[in-house]
Parts: sequence; structure tokens; C-alpha cells
Amino acid sequence: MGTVFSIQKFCTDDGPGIRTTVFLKGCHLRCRWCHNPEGLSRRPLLLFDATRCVLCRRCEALCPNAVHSFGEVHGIDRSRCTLCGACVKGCVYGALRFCGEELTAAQVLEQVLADRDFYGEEGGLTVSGGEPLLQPEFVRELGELAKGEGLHVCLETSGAVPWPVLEQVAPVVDLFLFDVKDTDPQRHMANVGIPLGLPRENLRRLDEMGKKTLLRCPIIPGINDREAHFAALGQLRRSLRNCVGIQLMPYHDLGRGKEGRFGTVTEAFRVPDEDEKETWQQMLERHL
Amino acid sequence: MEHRMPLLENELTISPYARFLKKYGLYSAAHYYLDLNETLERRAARAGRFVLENLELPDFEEGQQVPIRCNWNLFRPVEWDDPEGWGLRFHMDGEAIFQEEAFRRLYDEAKNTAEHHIVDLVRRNGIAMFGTVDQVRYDHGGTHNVVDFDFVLNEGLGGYREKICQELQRSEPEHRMFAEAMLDMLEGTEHFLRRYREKLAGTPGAERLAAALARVPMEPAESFYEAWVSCGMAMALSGCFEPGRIDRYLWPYYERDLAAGRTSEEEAYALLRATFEDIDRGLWHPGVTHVTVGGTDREGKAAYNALTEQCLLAIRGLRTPNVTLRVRKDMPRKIWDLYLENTAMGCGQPAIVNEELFLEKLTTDYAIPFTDAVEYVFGGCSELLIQGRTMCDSTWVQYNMLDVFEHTLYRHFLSCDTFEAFYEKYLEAVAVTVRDMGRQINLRQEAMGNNLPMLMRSLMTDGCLEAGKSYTAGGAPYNFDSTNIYASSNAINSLYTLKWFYEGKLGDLTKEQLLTALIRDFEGCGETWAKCRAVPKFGNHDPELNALAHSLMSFTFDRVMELRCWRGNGRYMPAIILWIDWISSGLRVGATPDGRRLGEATADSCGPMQGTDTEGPTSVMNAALSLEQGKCAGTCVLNLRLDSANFRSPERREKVLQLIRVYFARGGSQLQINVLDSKRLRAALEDPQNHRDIIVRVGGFSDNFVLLDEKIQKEVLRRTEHSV
Repeated sequence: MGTVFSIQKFCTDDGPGIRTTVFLKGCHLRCRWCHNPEGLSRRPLLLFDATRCVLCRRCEALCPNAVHSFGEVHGIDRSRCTLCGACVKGCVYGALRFCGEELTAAQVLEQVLADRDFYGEEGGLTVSGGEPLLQPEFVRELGELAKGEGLHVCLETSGAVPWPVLEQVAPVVDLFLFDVKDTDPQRHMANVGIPLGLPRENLRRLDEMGKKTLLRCPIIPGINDREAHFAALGQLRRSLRNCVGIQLMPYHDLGRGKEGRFGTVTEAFRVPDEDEKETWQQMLERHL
Repeated sequence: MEHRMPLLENELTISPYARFLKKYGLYSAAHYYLDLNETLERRAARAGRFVLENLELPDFEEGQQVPIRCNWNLFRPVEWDDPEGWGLRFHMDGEAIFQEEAFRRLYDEAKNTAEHHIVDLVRRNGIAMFGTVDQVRYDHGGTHNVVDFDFVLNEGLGGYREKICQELQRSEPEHRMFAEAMLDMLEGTEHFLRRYREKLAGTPGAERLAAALARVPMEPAESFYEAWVSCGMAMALSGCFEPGRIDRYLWPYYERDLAAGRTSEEEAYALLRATFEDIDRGLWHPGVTHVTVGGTDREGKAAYNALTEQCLLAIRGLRTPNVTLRVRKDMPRKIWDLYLENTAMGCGQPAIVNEELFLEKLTTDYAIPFTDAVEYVFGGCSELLIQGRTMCDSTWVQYNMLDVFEHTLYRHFLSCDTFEAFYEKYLEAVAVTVRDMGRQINLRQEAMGNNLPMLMRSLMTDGCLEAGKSYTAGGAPYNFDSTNIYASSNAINSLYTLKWFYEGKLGDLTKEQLLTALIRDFEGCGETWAKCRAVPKFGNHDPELNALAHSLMSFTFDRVMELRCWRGNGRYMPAIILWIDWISSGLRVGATPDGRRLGEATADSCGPMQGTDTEGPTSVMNAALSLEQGKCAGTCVLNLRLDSANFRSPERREKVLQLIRVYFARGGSQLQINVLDSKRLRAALEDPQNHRDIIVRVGGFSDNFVLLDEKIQKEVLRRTEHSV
């Protein structure tokens, strides 16, 4: 079984072609700009959909832990929530749900296969997260089933896991979408929460193994939008024999739109405009 | 201007009806009733010719390019007809413009029983002329026609004279009278054209047009410009501004003139644009005319050319005419690129259709010879016709599946112990009501055929002369009734709610509670409403739901295809077009188990009910593909909404192309792609419940727009407005 918090269809930016992306729950990184904060915890989260809440207060009556309160709006104190599910079961309006459910690899694959005609030769399955490699057995099983159906498989990962974990899943992954959060060790530790060394070493080892990688590089205004970083990215790209490309991921603040729903708090950064993104791209290309 | 009425000059040679009507200045009516022993078409043509020979000439605006503007209604009465306002005049197609209250005053003028009878008969005819069987349940209205442009261009209208003369030799009097009627229309048209040309010759800025009208449309066209003028006149005279396969039939003239240096790309664009702009400005609603480009020629080869490209450019920024691009598997890349550019601009045009599917179904299911099938075009919204050879009722039928469902629900839900039992009752109701609808529509067809011959279309539609029958009486070789099936997705969703009910998935809800909630329009029944809304909806991944949709719609399509028209024993063609009536079709239906409130709109295409698809375009397409669309030839429209970001790079556009190719390869019929714009985002802010289908995607991230926190929603909106 795997803990999945979302399955998204017609994903066009998560690998080549048209893909279905499966988001696995749990991540040990703490990127300050994370846009899927609901994926950080391995445990389910209580999701509150305000567009469906009619303020009937049934959840308040059912909850044994006084999680729900009603002043002008429906308030939720998640620190008190034990995920007993009484409010979820009792909310007939669908305003309260769990984010994250246990699914078998076969159940996930059934959803992925629904779109197989649209994948063509390039598209397929992408496993993402969170950090999907916190569930390596599930990733391996899902990948095996997908490969058995002839699907192309991408895995999006920070690579910040012990090498044996990557070795375990590598045979069923066609393309690693490898996150390169930063190139400066100090910034990496401060803004991502883990040392740079492990993922960098794993990237090198994947490359030596002959596995294809696509580098995915978040660019955050005020953090790593510097010439030196683009130079380092270029150097990194050139050092890899099996890297098929490098993709900048300009910061966006859409993850901040989840605060009300999941009770997550995400730091705000300046959102770059199109000119700035173009400048970054040009800076990178100068170093490729 | 001279008043031409030679037929009425000698009162010894006209019927008592005509004498009476002439006395009161009802001149066109006097022509119509010149001889009651003649057939309807003969009498109508007498009135029609009188009108053509005396009709006020169109105004010509400064800067005008089109020969007659489409908002200049040629189908109007003669100005000096009925000067005393007795309320009866005819227009050039032999149809009455009748004001019964004014006409009734003539009873007071009748001096004897014969005159009283004349007034009575004419009055009752006037009422009956547009009378239809008032079965409002299946009522919409309208017809579409694409004239025989090939004949008009290659032979000229004058070419009909030879055909008419042949038919005048027929021994059957009705057939001969029909030919005489057509001759009247031809000669009346010739007279009208001569007068119009003389007016234009003296009008600054109209010299080139006047010179062209010296030849066309009476004579064959000899240049690209003449061909364009000829088509414009044919459309104006038919009263139906449907350009049809304009890139195909104008191409030989354009190709020749371009090679000889007599025309240019710029001129081609300017003329096409002039036609489209005139339609866009002048017609009362978007969607009443249609241009069909691309596709296949009569030799089976690809029929894309430079005019196809110019049509796609010329439609940019215009709401109408509707444009459909016939997409073959080997359609040139250049056309694909133009299509994607148009779509990315939010143009909404063209729609695209699956060429191979249409040709296969027309030749097999409808037994249409390939050389005719290949000339399929769309009229209006998307009704299917064979260009130049078809009478098509345009969505004459508003078959509302949710309306039928509602009656079944209240009559049988309580007594059905299983879903299967209820479903069987519903299918029986569909079968009965489809057959009933066919009977009602055929009565209307017969009424129309007996009263409103549509003379100009009869002249310019191939086959009518040879058949000796008018356009509305079945003279055309092809007679279709485009049977528009409304609210199919809502019916599917409502059925699925009942299936969940019977499977115990709606908790402790009882039948009585559900029905009561519906009768109350869910007022005070919030929990029941929430349960109904929470049931999975068509357009999302649900194999069981898609299987139900397949079963229901295959059954419905089959029942429609079994029907035959009164008119020419033609075919009823299932369609899911819906036009703007997906709004009004909901007005008559109460709250339904899909969670829809009383009077709310229904689905706007064969796809999901608006706002209920939350998984994106692949799930929508998978659902739509469950509908056996090949049986829905008249057309099966799918509205697909995509984020504009899908068009921002060549790589992303390739993925949109992949979507389309797979959809068509799997049997999808038609696609109308709408790019998400700020207007829709604003609507979503106001009404999030009904806009849960808007998905915001960037790399590694997908989310429903309505679920984002408000400040982020506003940011997305702001950026969308900037990016367009």
C-alpha cells in the first residue's frame, strides 16, 4: 500500500508528453517555497473545503477533541485533531475530507491506465510527492506494474535518500526528474533543511549507472536567483553524460492558496514576472 | 418607380379572389390568389415574382464590399403593397406577412356571400400558413440551407432556364406548374438583378460590383471576384447566409486568377473577411450560419488550400459565422498550426470534426454515395447537410432527456424496487417519446410543405426541379431532421444518483425524502442536496458511469435513427448541438437528482455538466467517447475548456494536438476548444460550486481554482488578464 494524496491527469509539465502524476505523501525536506505542503506529512491531513461548508455545526457536535469552532467562520484547530474521522464521516456536504489515502499499486495503476491512449509514445506515469522515495517499496511495485503495461515512467525526486533506495527503484524508472534546489551548500541547508552532498552524490551515481535525468531547478527570488547559481547549474549539467535537459521552475505562490484548506503555512516570496523568468533562462543558457 | 402588375391589368382574366383583393390594394395577395386551381408553389411564385419585380432595392453603404448586406432583409413586402393597411402582404418567397386583426376588418367590406367567403378563406389561410402542431415539448424551429454553389458558379442562375424548359414538357400538371413557378422566380430574380445593377452603376464606390453584376449571378463566373460576388448574391437571394465549403468552390477561380496576377492573397483575405464581417455584424445571433473548410474532394484527396488558410485567418476576432475545419489524418501541418493559433487566441473558432468518421458514417449508416457524402457541410450551429442538395430542419426538435426523466421519476420511482426496473421504465419512455416526437415533427413538416414552399431555395437546391417538388415538400435528394438531444449528461447523472440510491450509497435517505426534496427544489433539504451533488458526475473517471452513459445514449440514438421524415422519406439524425438552448431547456424542468435546481441550465454539449468535471480534459474525453458518437452524425458537439497555458510553447501545443488526435482516433466526432479566460475565472469567483472544473496547472502542481484561497485566486486572475 502507498499513501497517496493526489492523482492528477493531463499533466504536461511533469515529464515528456501527456502524463498522469501520482503524488505520494511524506517529505523530509523543508523547502521554504514548497507548493505542496499537504504532502509533507506522511499522515493524512484534514482537508476543509470552505466552498462546501454550510455552517451546520454537525462536525462540532461529533468531534471528541473540540477541533471545530464557529465564530464568524468555521475555525479548525488542527493541533487538537487526532484524525479520528468522525467529522469527515458526518459531513454530508463534503466540506471535510482527508487528504491522503492508502491505495494499492493496482488501484493507482487502474487510474493511470484510464488515460493510456493519450500518452502516445512519450507520455505515461510520473510519481511525485512529497518525496516519493520515502515509500520505495510502493514506488517499485507501481513502477513494475506500469512497465508491465508498457508505460513510460518518470520519478520526481530530491534524491536526498540513501543510495540503496535509488538503486531499488532505478530499474523501473525511465527518467528521473531530479530536483536541484540549490548549488550553494550553506543556502541548501538553510532553505531546504538537508545537506547538499547526498542528493548531489546520488545524482552522479545515477548518471554513472546510465539512468536518464532531467534537472528541475526551482528559482526563488532573493534566494538563488544569482549568476553564480546559474553558472553552477550549467556546470552541473555539463558534467552529466545522461542528463537530457535542465528545466528552470520559477517560483509561484499557488501553494499559498492551500493554507485555508489544509492549515499549512507557506512562506511568501516575490513572484517573478515573465521578463524576469526570461532573464533567468538566458542566464542559464549562457552557462550551458 | 414603375408598378409592375401585368397579370392584374385585365380583370376579365383573374379570379374573383384576385379581383376582390386588388380592389383593396392587396396586390401581392391578388397574385397569390390569381387562380386557386393552381398548386401552392405556382400561386406562391406568382406573388414572389410580383415582389421581385417591384421590391425596393437595397441600400449600398459607403465602404460596403458585399453585394447585399445580410441585415438588408430581401424577404420584405413591396412598399406600396396594401396601402390601406388591411394586414396582408407577401414577400418574394411566397410567404404571407399577415396581421389578422387588421385583416378582419375586411369582413365589413364584403358585400355578398361570395366576398365574405373570400375574406374568410384568405384569413384562415393566413393563420394556417405558419401554423404548426403546437407540441411545445418538442419545439424549437428553423431550417438551414446551403445552396448549390457549384451550379450557380459554373452555370449561372440562367443555367436553370434549360432545366426548367425540360420540366415544362412534363405531362403531369403539378410537375409542370412547379416548373412554371421556378421560371417565375428565375425571371423575377433577373428583373430584380437588372434594376439593382442599374442603381449600383450610378453609386460611387460600387462600380466594380456593378460591372460584376452585369454577368453574375445570371451567367457563369469567370474570375475570382465574380465568383465571390455570385456566391454573395446566391446567399442573399436564398435568405440563408450559409457559405458552405467556400474554400473548395472558390478555389479554382482563385488559383487561376492568382497565377495570372489578377488577384492576390490580400484580396482573398479582404473578400472573405468582408463576407464574415458582414455576417457577424448583421445577423441576429451568433451561430445561425456556418462555414465548412478543408476535408476531402470528390476524388478522395485532401482538399486544403490557400483559401482554407485565409478563412482561418479571416474569422479571427469574429463571433460568427461558425467555422468548422474538417480534419483528415493527413491534414497539413500549416493548417494545424493556424488552428492552434486561433484556439490559443481565445478565438473559439474553428471547431474541428473527424473527417474519416463522418465519411464512414454517412456512406454506411445513411447510404449516401461517396461523391455526395464528401460534400457534407454544417449549417447554423452544426446541423449536417450535403451542400446544394439538402433540406435540413435545424434543431426543429428539442428532445429533452431530463424532461422525459422527470416524468418517469415521479411516475415510477416509488414502485420500482431495483435500479434495473426503473431504468427499463425510462428506456421505454425514451422509445415512446422519440416516436411521438417523430409523429409531431412530421406533422409540422407536412404543414410546412403544404404552406411555405421556400421558392428561392427550391430553385437553388439541386433535385427540386427534377422532382417537381418544393424544398419543403421533399424535392431535395436529402431531407434530414437534425434531432437535437438536450440534457443527456444531466439525465445520465440523475440516473447514476438513483443507481447509488438503490445500492444504498446515499445512507438512510428514503425515496419519499428524495422526491420531496426535489419537489421543494431542495429548500430545507440541504443534506439531500449535498448527497445528490456528491454522487460522481459524468466527465470524470468512472467506468461504471461511462458504461451507463454508453447504454443510454446508444439506445436513444438508435431510436432516433429509426424514424423517417414525412419530407422525402428522409432521415432523422441524432445530434447534440444545443446552441444556446441548453439554458432554456432547463427552465421547464424542476430540481433533479443530479443536484440541479429548478430551472437551472443543462449541459452545453455532450460532455460534462458545466463545472462538474474536476480531472481535466482526458477524463472528459474518455467520458464523451463512451457515447458511440458515430451514431450522432448531426453533430455530437464536445465543448472542451483548456487553460491558455497549454498553448504557450510549441511543446505544449504538441500535447494539445496529441489529445485531439487520440480523441478522433478513438471515434470522437467534433471538438470545440475554449481557452479559459479571465471572464470565466471571475464567474468562478462568484459561483465556485459550478466552476469546479477549472484546474490551474504548473509543473508539479495542479489544483482546482475554486479551492485556492481568495487572495491567490485573485492573483491568478490578474495574471491571466495580463497574459491574454
